Amino acid sequence: MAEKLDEAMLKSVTETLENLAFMEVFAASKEDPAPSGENMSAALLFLEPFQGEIRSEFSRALLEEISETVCGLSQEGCAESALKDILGEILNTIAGRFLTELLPQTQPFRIGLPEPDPLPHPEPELLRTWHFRSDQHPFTVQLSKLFSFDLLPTDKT
Amino acid sequence: MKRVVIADDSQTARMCIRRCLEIIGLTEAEFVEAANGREALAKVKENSTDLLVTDLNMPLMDGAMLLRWIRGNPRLSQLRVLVITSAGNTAREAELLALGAFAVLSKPVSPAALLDKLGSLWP
Repeated sequence: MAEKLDEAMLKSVTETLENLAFMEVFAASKEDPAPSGENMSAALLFLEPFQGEIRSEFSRALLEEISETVCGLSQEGCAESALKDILGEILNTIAGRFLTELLPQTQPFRIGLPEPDPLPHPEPELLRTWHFRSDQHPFTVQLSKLFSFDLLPTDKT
Repeated sequence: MKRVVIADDSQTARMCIRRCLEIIGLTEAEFVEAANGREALAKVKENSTDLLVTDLNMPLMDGAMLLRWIRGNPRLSQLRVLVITSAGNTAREAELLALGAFAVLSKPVSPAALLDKLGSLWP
């Protein structure tokens, strides 16, 4: 199951950033350098058919690059709110793609709205962290413990 | 001139959708933006609209509720509504088409996918 989650997450993140910002994404390991400098994070709840939380942490520098591509805004022109909006939209798209990959096509699902600057996650609740890199910028996506492996169907149909 | 209303709570998503629509040839259209379903409903009521492109997951009024309001209003019943969602699969698509959506697309949206759905409308 862990392998299935890894595949689904990599595909979701790759498709999202390639389509939204024309950026290549690579899986990285936790030994790779963590996002450095100023970071921004967002969280989003899975509501149905199970409850959980997905969150992501990007460096401001990476979000500014994405903003330049997506919105045509120069790095100087990037307001804090625009960067938060971009991160929220990225997370929203990743979350939807991820559940689409994992669940059967006949299983409807519902996700919440992205929340910028969520409270820090208590470490013990974390279920899994994925490390990625795009254009030399590391970033992470995390799933919380509320998300249960047992609730997922064993085979996607 | 075509009038297109784009409803999404994310400004980034609205910009992406608009850019994709321009790429597929809607360069002369009047684009009107709305941040939720309630705003979108007001915008489509205030002027004759050719196309509503709406996100599904929005605050105040979501895309499904917006679709119900539009289909319940005889003045708007002919309006073409394209739903774009990150939470899309076959089950959700069938539900939205049954509610009266013209088409359903998954995020991230691309010009090719939009052209595939809208190409027959404005050759």
